[in-house]
Amino acid sequence: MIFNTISGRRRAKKILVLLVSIVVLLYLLAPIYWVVVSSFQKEIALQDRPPHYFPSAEVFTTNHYYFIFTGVIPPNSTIMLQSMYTMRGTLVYPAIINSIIIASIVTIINVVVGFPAAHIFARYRFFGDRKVFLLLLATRLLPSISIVVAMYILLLRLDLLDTKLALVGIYSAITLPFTIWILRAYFHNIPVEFEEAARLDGCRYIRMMTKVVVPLARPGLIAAAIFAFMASYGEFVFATILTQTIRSQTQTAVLASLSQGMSTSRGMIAAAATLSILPPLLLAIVFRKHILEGLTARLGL
Amino acid sequence: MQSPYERKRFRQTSLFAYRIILPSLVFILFFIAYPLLYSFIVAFKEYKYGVPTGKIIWFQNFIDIFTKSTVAPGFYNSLVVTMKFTLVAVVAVVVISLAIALLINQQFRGSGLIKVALLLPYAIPGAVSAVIWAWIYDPSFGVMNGVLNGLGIIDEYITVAADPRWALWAILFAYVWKFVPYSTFLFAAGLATIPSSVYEAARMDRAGSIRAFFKVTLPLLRPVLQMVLVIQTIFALVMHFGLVFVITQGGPGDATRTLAWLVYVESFTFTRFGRGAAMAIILALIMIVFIYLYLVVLNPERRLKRREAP
Amino acid sequence: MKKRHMLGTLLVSSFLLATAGCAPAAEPAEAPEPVVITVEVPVVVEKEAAPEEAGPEELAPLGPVTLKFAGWTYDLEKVQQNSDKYVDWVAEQAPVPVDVKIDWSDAGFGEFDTYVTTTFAGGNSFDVLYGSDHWLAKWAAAGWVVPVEDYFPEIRDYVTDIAPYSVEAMTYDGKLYGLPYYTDVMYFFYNKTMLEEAGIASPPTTWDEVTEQSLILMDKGITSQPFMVGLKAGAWFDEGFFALIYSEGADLFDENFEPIFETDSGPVYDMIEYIAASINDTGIVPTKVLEMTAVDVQQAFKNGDAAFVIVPGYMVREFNTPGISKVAGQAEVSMMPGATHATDGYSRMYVMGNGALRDEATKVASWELIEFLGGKTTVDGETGYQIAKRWAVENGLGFSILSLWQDPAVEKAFSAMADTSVMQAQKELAISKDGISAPWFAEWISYVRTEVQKALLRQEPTESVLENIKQQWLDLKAE
Repeated sequence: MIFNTISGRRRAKKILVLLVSIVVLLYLLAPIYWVVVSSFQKEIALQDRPPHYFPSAEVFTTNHYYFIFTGVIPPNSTIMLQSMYTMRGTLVYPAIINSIIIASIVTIINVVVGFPAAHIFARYRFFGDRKVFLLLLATRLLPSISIVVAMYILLLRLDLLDTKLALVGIYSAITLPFTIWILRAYFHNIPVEFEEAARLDGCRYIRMMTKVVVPLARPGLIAAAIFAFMASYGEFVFATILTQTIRSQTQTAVLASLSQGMSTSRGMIAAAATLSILPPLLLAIVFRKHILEGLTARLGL
Repeated sequence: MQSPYERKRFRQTSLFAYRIILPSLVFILFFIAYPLLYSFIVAFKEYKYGVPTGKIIWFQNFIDIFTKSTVAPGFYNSLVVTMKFTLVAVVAVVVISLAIALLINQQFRGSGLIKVALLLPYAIPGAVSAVIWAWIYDPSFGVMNGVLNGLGIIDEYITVAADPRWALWAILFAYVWKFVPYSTFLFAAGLATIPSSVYEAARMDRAGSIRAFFKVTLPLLRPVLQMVLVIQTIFALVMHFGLVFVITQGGPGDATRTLAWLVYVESFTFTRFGRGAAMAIILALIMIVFIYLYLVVLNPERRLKRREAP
Repeated sequence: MKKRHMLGTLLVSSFLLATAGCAPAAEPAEAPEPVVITVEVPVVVEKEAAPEEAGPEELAPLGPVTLKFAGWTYDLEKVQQNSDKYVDWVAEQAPVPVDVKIDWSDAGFGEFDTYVTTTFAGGNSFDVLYGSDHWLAKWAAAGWVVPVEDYFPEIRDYVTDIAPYSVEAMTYDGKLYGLPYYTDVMYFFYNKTMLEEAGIASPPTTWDEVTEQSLILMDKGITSQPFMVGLKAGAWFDEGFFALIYSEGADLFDENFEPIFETDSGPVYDMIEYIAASINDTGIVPTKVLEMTAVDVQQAFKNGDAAFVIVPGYMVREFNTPGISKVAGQAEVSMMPGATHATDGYSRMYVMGNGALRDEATKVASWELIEFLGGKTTVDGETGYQIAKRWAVENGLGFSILSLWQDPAVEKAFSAMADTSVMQAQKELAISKDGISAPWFAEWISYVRTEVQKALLRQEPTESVLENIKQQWLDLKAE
């Protein structure tokens, strides 16, 4: 038996690792592959059994994307297919823009507000510091569905339902604890020596933060910003319940409502999903190092 | 902190610190704490057609949830479904992500590729992943049916979302896909801290790799394992909402009516905001138990290394 | 608006206070105050800025007015065109000219009741909106929609030209609330070619025959999912479910809204048991119908998947049109199987929201919009049911306007679709949903959907499901 020799065992192990890796990669990537591939197939081809796993030129089309951006139903398609295009598909692009606007503002708030707060928690001892910090942690763990009903009624009373402002506020509140949490852990890994032991006043503090702390903490700050962006970009519960029209609807809300009808064009839904995942995927790939570091920073390992 | 000078300085520091953290607190107080308290007010009120009738009925909504013949069975069922889902989801996520983390830890060519691949499901918004999976599960044209049929496992295209035997597990499968990467990263980071000398020592003892895993790796991973367990429990209790919303809408029948979904249905389908808020509070209470567990188990207080001002 | 600003100011100021540290020393004591201010904002809901009062000159059109118009998503291109036409018409040709802009918003049919409920419950409103028979009682009882005849008595002139069941569907507490958008009934369609292939001479007339014929079709490999009716737990469930139970002669409530259906036998029980057996035992109904709406069933039939379907009339138009349907020329309508062959009839309508009452110009413009869409108007010298006719001819939407049947264009469009004599006969056996004029019907039926699904899946015995839905009805009634 080859398994009895050391080199044989090593080879067997190599093969095993390879096989498992392929299975894992398939599980992780196949769904994404399939949605992207579907978005480029003609609607009629998507109804074929078996499906076109590796689409040929005959089934290729960019019509679904064309429809989303222009509202023009694919030319030359039969009327049966035409009836599957709902005009709500054209909301996908503005909804993605809404999502990006909201997520960007939330990210800025996190950086401007959360970063100094994390610094304070990491560096200073003050009245009630631990209690306030625990409060922050606790709110992060509260399920959003638990407050959404009350939030809905509150926003109704404040005439803030279906506004971007409400979502910005809520998402800031959800993301800030996490930002503060991971940045605080990050500060613990930065030597304190560079920071000036000056009397605390606003002017000096701001100067110190921008001149000294931000450059040192930049990787952590980027990671925190990415997390805040992705969390607000992909949030679903508030986005679907507290919005009604495209004035404030985000891509998750539009996409979820699009996918409700089984007779809606699947190709269009796939195209919408593909467009929706582009921004976070790009971010994740570009900033992968920061994300991995950020995710594990608070383990304190 | 004895001398008057120090006390004064502490006061000054505190004032300054609160000025800096104030905006964060305002957001959190206004958008989380206030609605949370307000939901008690809502829960004590009677609502009809989405409008408060003006009657304060105190705990009647809670009593209804536990006793009323048209409400209580659905509520208990949702508890069962939620717990079933949570239990299986946590075990599945932990086992799979630990396995993948061990795989990555082999440091072979291609482990970097797996890391990048893991980032993708992690980065995709939950609701969008639900849309993707709904399309995969599609009873008429879904690729899952295509694959199973091609492999000869099924003869006919089947539905999973409308089949009470499969619906919850279909949700679970999609859920695991989305949440495995996060835990994997945590485990991988934990594994990376275990020095290779520990393994060499184990090899000296002629321990097999499986034995080494249980004798060496697992005990050293315990802190990470605890953390993943608790975080995953908290996630599994609520983060399935988008999947249920998109794939099954709580159906068929009540097969995927989790507590989170029930809160939504009571509040926004039946517009019984009072009862919905009461259920939301119950859900929050269940969560608080877990949060407490979290704080005790992981004890972040101990980790809060306080430092004096520089 | 003010409140919105206040919140913004609160956030911005707290933000500046802390981060723009160079500002003069802040007094922290003041800090938490803004939160309190916002909390105590009075609960007055502010209306949209009221349009200016009508100008002094009598000849100038009223307004300008922005009408908030809401409906569910269906052929929005045509809705847009119709709205544009109305805006032109109402500015110059209407009896009372008004300068109008339309602010349209829509939600899916399945979510529309929730959308309307949350809008009105939040103190906002629409001026004109789509309505449906199963929501009207709830909306009217809550005061969200107003009886048009109180303000524009001339609406009663339409009563003689609208089928009585449809008038009834638009009436609450004796008052007429709107004009029809479209009305339709659920029909039983079958694929003639499939039956011929299986050697079946005539379509089924009882539910047992449906089973027999389906089993033959399955045996011969003609189709594996012969019979479909959309039972997804949403608004379409109601039409499918009521069509099924009416076909066996179900009667749910008496005139005092007392439930009179039996829970361990009778037509309701039998039909639930029948569909449950069809899903679980005989397999003639695929389980996926529990995630399908009538629209999805229509799609499946056009694809040639199903042999028997229950769908609303307006979907029929597409069955036999080549290019639209894979089964063109094979679809035939038949009377609903069952003991009484009765079916479910439903009405969708245009109603007036309480927002329309905010001033005279809005009120007039709202009524003129309802009449333009649902009634008879004169456009460019031509008098007729402009929009209802358009929906009927171009989209095949059913209608309850009696005089429209005389219109040759309508006649031609409909006879091309299917056997109009069978459809006519079926229409006469259509029943408006029982108990629909009870304000709690909307909530009750949402409960029924999930409960009946449980029985269909045999998760719970039919008896206890029927006990539950009866109890729920009584509970809601007692409230």
